[in-house]
Parts: sequence; C-alpha cells; structure tokens
Amino acid sequence: MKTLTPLQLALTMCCCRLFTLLSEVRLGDSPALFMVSLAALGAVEAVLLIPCIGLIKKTGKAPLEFLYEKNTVAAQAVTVVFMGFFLWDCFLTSGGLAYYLDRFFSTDISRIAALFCAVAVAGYISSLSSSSVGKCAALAFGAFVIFMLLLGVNTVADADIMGLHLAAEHPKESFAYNISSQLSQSRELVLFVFLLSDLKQGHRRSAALYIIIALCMAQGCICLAATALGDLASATDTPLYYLSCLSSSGIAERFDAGFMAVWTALGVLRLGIIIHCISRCVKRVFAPFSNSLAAKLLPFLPAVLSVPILYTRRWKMFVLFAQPPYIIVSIVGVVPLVLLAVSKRRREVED
Amino acid sequence: MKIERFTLALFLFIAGSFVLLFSSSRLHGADIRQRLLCHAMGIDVENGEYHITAQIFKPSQPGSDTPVDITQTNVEVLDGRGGTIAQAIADCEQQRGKKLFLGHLKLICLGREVDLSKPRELFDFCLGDKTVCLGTDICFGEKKAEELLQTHLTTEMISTENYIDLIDYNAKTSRCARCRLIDLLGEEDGKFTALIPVLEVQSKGSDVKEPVMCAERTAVVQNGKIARVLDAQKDGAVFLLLSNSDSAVLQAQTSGVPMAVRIEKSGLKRSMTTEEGKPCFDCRLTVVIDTLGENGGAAAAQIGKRIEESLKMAFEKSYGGDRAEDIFGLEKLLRFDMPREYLNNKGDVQGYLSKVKAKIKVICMVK
Repeated sequence: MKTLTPLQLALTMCCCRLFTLLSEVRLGDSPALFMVSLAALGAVEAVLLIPCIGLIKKTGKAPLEFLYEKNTVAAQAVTVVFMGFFLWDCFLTSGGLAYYLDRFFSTDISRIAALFCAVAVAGYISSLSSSSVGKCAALAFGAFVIFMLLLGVNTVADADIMGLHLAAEHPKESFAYNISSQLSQSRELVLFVFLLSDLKQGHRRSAALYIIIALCMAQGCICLAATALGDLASATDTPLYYLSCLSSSGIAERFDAGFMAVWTALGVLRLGIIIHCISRCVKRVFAPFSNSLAAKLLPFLPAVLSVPILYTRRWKMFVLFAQPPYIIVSIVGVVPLVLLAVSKRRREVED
Repeated sequence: MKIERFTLALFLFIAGSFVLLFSSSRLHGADIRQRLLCHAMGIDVENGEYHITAQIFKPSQPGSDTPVDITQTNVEVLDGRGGTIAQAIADCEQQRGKKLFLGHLKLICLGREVDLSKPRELFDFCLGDKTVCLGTDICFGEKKAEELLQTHLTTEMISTENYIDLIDYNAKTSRCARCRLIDLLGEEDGKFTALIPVLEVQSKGSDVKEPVMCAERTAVVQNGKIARVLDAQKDGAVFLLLSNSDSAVLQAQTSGVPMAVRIEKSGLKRSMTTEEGKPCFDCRLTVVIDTLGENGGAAAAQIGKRIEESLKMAFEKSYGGDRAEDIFGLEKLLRFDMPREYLNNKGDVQGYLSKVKAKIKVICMVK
C-alpha cells in the first residue's frame, strides 16, 4: 500500500543514517578533509540512485515491482539478495545498539536485556503501517535537530575554527578511504531503494531530499564536533558522544542523557524498518509459508545470532569500517541499471 | 485477525515481563548511599607511587529541616595510594567501602612532580569512567595538590566551586590561563605546550577566618614538565591572546599620575604566513578602554604601546630559543593556515617555530 510521502521516506532514511553517524565515525587526520569527502559521497550516492529513479520514471514501477512483472524467478532471486542484505543489516544494527549502549553509558542493564528491549520495540514498529513509521521518523528527526541545536548553542563558546584543518599526511588516500568507508556504512541506501515502491509519486524529490538533508546534518555534526573537541575528535571514534559529554549549560551539566534518548530512538526506528523490510521479503519469497511462526520469527533471527557474540564480548570483530561497499553499489546501482537497460531494449524491440 | 492480535499481545506481554525482570536495577545497581561524590581530586607523586586526595561531598546538617548547611564546607577529604591512579582510587574506595563517583568532578589538581608527557595515559581513569566531564578544570598546586585540597572554603556550597569561580574569573580578566581535561586529552604524547593555572593558598594573618586563594600564576608545561611560570603582573598581556580572556586591568600613567585602566578585548586576528622561507606570525589585537577626562587618547596610545611591547617581549622569550615554548598556540595556527608547511615540519614543529618572526600590532581605542 503506497502511503509514504517523499519527505517521510527521506526523513526515515536520514534517521537510519544519523544512527550510524552518532554511533561511530572516524574523522581521520583531517576533519575538514572528511567533510569534503562527505560532500563527494553525496554526489556518489546521487549517481548511484540515478538508474533507480530513471527506471521508476520510465516504467512507473520500483525495481522489484518491475522485475516481478517481467520474470518471477529473477525477481525472487533479487528479493533473496535484498533479504540477505537486510538480515545482515539487522544483525549489525541490533548488535551495535546493544554494544554501544553498554559502551557509552554506565547502565545497569545487561547487553542481552538491552538487545531484547530494542528488538521488542523494533518488532512493534515493524508492524505499523508505512505512514505511521514515516511520522515516527519525522518526530525522531525533529528531536535530533533540537538536540543538535542545544549542543551547538552550548558548545559554540568553546568552538575553535582551527579544528577544521586540512593537514592530512596522505590526502588522496584519506579522501578515497573516507568515501569508501562511509559508503560501506550507508546501508540505508538499500532500504531506500526497497521502500521506493511505497511512494505514489515524487521519487526523485525523495532521493534529492534524503541526500541533501543527510549531507547537511552530517556536515553540521562533524563541524561542531571537530571545532569543539579539537584534536580529540580525530583521536576517538565516537566524537559525537564526547561532544554531548562536553556540552553544558546553566540547566544541564552534560547532555549525554539526551544523546542516549535520541540515539536509542534512531536506532530502534532503524531496526524496526529493517525488520519490516525483511518481513515483506519473506512474504514474497516464502509466500505459501508467510503466515507460519517460522516466517514471523525469521526477521528476529539476526538479533538472536548476535547474542553469543555480545555475550563473549567479541562484537568489535564485526566493526563496519573494513567492509567494501561493492554489495551496496551492486544492489543500489547495478541492478536498477540492468533493469533500465532491459526496459529500454524491450521498448526498442516493441517499437 | 484475532489470532494475530492475540499473538502480538502475547509477544508484548512476554517482552514486557523480560524487561521488568532483567532491566531492574536491583540486580546490578548501586544506591547513591553507596557512592562517594567526588568534587575535586588531587594527584601527587611520592616515592614512585601516586597519591590521590579526593574531596568528597559530605553534607553538614544543622537541623532536620535543612539538608545542607551552606555556612559549612560540606566536604571531607580522603586519600589513597597506589602504583597507578586507578589503584589509588581503589584504595580510597576500600577505606569507606563505597564506590567513588566521578560524575561531579569539577577540578583535578596536579602536584609539581606529576609527569604530563603522556596525558592520555595519565587521565585514562577519566576516559574509562564515562561519567567524568571533559570540561573538568585542571590546575597545579603550589607544591602539592594535597595542600590545596585540604583547604576548605565556605563561600559557596562546596569548596570546589570557589576554586572554579576563581579560575574562571581570573581567566576572563587575563590574570591566568584556563586548562580543561579536553585540552590535554587531545594532545599527542609529549609534544605539546600547555598553560595550566597554579592555585595557591595565601593565609593573611591569624585574624582572617578563612584562607585566601590566589590564581595569578600560570605554569608553562613543555615536554610533560613545568618549564617556567608566568606571572599576572609581569606577563598579563600574554593572556589577552588566549581565547578565554575578555578583559584586563592595566596601569597607565598620564601627566605623571598613575591610574588603573580597565581594557576590554574587542577583536583578535591571527594568521601564519611565510616570509623569505621563514614562518611569520601576524597578530592584530584590538582593545577598548573606558576613561574619564581629556587624557583618554594619550592613555590609549600608552596602553596600546605597552601591551605591544609586553607581547613582543613574551614572544621573544618563548620563541627565541632553540626549542619554542608554544604559549600562543602557533602550532595549531600553522596547521590551519599552512597545512603543507606543517606536514613538512611535523617531526620537529618546536624547532620550526623557534624561527618564527612576529608582527604584533595592538590598537587601543577609547570607548
């Protein structure tokens, strides 16, 4: 059912992106170079989405919908690829949520219990309609913006523009590495392509809004962290968390509680959307068994698989930076490009 | 539909039960009565081991209605020793059987013998403990940090607030520098210059009820050790170039009459360039004075010239030797303005900065 608006879809994807940014980001030697890399990444993402948007404009259908009309077997295969990617993303997001909750905050809740609570709430979010999720995302995004504005106001006195320097030892290599690592973390691009089928119209506008808003938010956060924290921003992989610890005002001495609230909301929302997408993939691939208990529990399997790894405290082995972005490029760019080429050829043949 | 709703309700009930069971803080939590709220910590080094002095909040209750008596100091002091700071903290905790809570830590005072060449290692206990605020002030004691923390003041609700207010005010009025935990944590091991205020206790006679604190000296830390100490009376102009300062009080003489003039910092522009292959520091400081009478212009010119000479002298003293004492933060300015030059000389920035030439211009205007 097509119930999402372009802005809601864009904000939903921004929330997913911002969760990753708040969790862990490595600025490298030069924060200013990292910001330039982010701008270049925005351009790369725009180029990657062109085939998908072009296909929708030409055929009026999202990639999977178009493929299901042409060839069911190929469509099932592509759906399985999407489902596999979402299961992997669910594993990383649910485990990351529990891991960073334990790492950031001296809480009395065990990692397993935190994971269970997050998955339970995400499971509920996944059962909501797309428009309800979109509205939740808009609220979470609004809370994030207010939180960052508060951080900005409280740390602007400590900000030093000299934190945004360009002194990188190997600028070209750093530039390429930043783009590659950030693209490998942009797993929400795959979610975006999958959820485009929920839009009635405005697909191009939604893509543009997502890229622009995510870019602006990320640049603002990195700029604030680098100017307020100075060299510590480059030395740590959680600069935004430390920024919230540093901020103080006349009312609150520190803002890490606010960070926790916003970060948890974004994380649970992201997990809920991933579980929702997995459920839809399961319904398509395993249509005869879609009402069985196994099919309903499959989206939660990755979270369960992360438990032993969290329990043995080996989560860091799965850290995201070393993953190459080829899979994302293939699913987001290559598959729609192939479908676009196929649709063009068919039109030529028919003509 | 009914079965789906029932399944969802059952699932939520089980989930809620687990939440209540496993997320209850009774399993892991620590009551606040089992915590020692530490406001200030002193770190000394004695006989190769660390000696920690912790000022703990202890409310003095005059009666049942008032939980805290603000006329009292409301602190007590604990001390512990150990091979590392973490061990010394554990020693403090063992004395009371309670855990030290560092979430309210406002001041870390260092003794003169403390080695700051590896600040991230030294303050590892702060990074590991997620409750420590990165804006915690750092200062040196006159000799030992313990002497400072054994001094209790009653002006504010807790003693530490007095120290913080003193450092904050003196930093704003260009009498000392201000150093926070985050300023040291961002530095690379051993290769930095830091300005850390020195807090001193001055007792002024037996008829004075409470000791008087003073923060008019600032230690210049180079390669982990104190290289020299700046004095507010002689080197006050140096602090005008720091970001914390807003104003200063200087003495001028017009028509043979000495007068104290309050100056406010209006603008500061700094840049690094190269001239004839050597680095050049360009600084333009604008200050405003407020004087009565017709001699305001003369006073302004005199004060502007005096500040300029004072800055040039301080510059010569700090950057004139073989190794520069980077009290003006020129390394970061070099990295921002000329990243290529910075990277070319990254192995020996202090040696590179010792060749720097200064063009300092002070403009003093009357309000």
